[in-house]
Amino acid sequence: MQIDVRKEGDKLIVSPKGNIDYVTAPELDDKMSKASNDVRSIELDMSGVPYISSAGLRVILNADELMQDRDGIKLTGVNNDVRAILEMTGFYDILDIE
Amino acid sequence: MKTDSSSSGLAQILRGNGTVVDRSVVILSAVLSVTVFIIYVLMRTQALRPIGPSYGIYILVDEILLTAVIALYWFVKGDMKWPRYFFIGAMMFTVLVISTVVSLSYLIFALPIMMVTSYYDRRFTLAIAAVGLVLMCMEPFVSSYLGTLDLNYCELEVYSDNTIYIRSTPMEEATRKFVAMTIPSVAIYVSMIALSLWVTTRGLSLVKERADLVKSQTSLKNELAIASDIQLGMLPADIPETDSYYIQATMKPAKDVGGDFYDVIHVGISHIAFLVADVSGKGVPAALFMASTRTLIRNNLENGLSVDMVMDRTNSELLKTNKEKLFVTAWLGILDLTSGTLSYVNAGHNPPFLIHANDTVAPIQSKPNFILGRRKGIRYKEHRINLSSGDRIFLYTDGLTDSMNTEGERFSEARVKGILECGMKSGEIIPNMMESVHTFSQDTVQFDDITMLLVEYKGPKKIQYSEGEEFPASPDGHNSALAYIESRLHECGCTEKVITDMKISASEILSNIDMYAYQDVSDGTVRISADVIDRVATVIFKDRGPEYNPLGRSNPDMEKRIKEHKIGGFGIFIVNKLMDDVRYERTDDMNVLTIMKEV
Repeated sequence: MQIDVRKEGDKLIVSPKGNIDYVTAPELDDKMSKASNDVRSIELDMSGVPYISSAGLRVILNADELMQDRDGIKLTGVNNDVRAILEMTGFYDILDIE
Repeated sequence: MKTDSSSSGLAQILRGNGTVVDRSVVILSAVLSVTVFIIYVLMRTQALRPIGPSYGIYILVDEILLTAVIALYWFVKGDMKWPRYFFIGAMMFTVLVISTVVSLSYLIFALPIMMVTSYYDRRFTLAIAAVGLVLMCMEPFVSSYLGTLDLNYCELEVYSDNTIYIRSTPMEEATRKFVAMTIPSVAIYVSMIALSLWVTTRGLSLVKERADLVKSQTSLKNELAIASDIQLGMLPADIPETDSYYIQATMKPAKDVGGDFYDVIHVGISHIAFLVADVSGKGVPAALFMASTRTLIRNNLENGLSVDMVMDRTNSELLKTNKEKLFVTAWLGILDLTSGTLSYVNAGHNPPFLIHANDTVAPIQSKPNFILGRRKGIRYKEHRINLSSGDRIFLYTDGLTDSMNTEGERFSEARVKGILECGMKSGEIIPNMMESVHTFSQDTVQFDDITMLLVEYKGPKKIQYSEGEEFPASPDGHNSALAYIESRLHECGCTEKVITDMKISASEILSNIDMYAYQDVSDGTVRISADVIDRVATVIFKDRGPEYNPLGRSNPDMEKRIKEHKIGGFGIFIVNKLMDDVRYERTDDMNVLTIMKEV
């Protein structure tokens, strides 16, 4: 899995490319938590993610927890398959999704 | 449109009425013909006077007319309207004859006009009134010219000399009679005409009211017939026979719309639910209550609830809107077609009969729960029995056992049991039972709906799945396993949507196996088969890890979990959401997880 991580001011923009499943999720989790120490918010660019499994949901939850006291996490570029999973699990109503 | 149908209803009633009046007119004509004959005889015997020279022909003509009336009526039998003008015409002539022959009998002119009012036809009444008036005025002249009137008549002694002859002309006689008798009678007659016209008008408006009543009654009947059709349409029409079960059912309503119903519903892929229910009361209220009960039970079943939960919820939902204080008795069962396990709930219904494969019959006895729709918070209890191949269940409503014969004897459970013990094939039981109860109750009126439902469990649903392939339970094996499932399902013609859902679920299950089943093993494998059989896509995962049932974890309340930041259980939650059926088994030291989705 290719994961681009860049900073824009105090915002961290993470752009994974590929499925987020139990194989790739730990790597994403690792990268995101390491890079998020000194940022106010995370933008997770999902435009390169065809589908997300429950392992991926856990990563998002972890990130959300990290940003709890800061400005939170935001998902962008969510495709329909990913959106379906997020809706089904109730994440859609809780996360900031663009 | 509205006026058309109402006027056609009116015309129909008037036609029917006219036929009845025609008959009365003819009967009266027959009576009059006898009267005229009696008058004739009296005249011949000199008992009645005076007698003119041509009365004989006069009376003969009248008798012929009256006979023609009877003959004509005999032939047309009230099918046509014109004969009645002839009937009344003949009657008027008779009236003229009688009044000319018998002096001072003007009263008889009342006869035709009274008769004609019954036709409720104002123009007819008026016409006859006018004709009557003319005849009445003619009468003195007719009678004097025919010689039936002789006001000078008196018996004189023969050869007496002191005879005084006052010969007046017929015209003078008639004029005298006209002035002295006809004019006062006409005055009375006119008031009679007024009364007759009033009776005619009043009769007509009554008939109109009746026509409207008949019309509204007819539309009500039509609506009831439609309601009955809709209700019968709610009963499942064609229940497909499969290699694992056979179901036949029937409902014979006592009234147009009844309160009984049955239903058969597929639950998931391997379960079938069936029920028989009886709503208290009859007619439209019962039918509406039946419809809502049916929908509630259906919805709850389709939501995958167990039988006891289905009843709990149906009961509390029914209570919310039950102003009429109706209730339902119901027997609901869900049969697991793979194992033959029957879970059922009895809400105050008669226990069904279990017919074993060897034709021994016994009622399925369990303490019934309370009826549905009347008491809050009832906890319905689920019972279970295991069916073997060939076992059958016969459900019915009390309309069957309570059917009476002419001696007031019930058809009874004993007779039902007796018939079930005859060893019939499944398809013959309901027709035979219907025939028997029909023969038994013969001429008595069916006072309750009769519903029957027969289920045969033919044996476990047998499906031969492919061998599948072995994959390493590791991140490396993960992708190749998903690719294998995709290509297999693709070959079988599944849609992209089904394949995607299957892959998402498979991915969750594979990660579970890797992380939990083989957490201490590095070279674990998982055997995966993917098939589409009976329009059901099925993927089976077998691993040799320690016994672990992922379905044992209850479905998480997602929102709560997310808020509390608890993690875990999402995977199996997603699988449950996406699949129609998910099953776990431990066989041959393997965890066997099966996921199914209808294509």
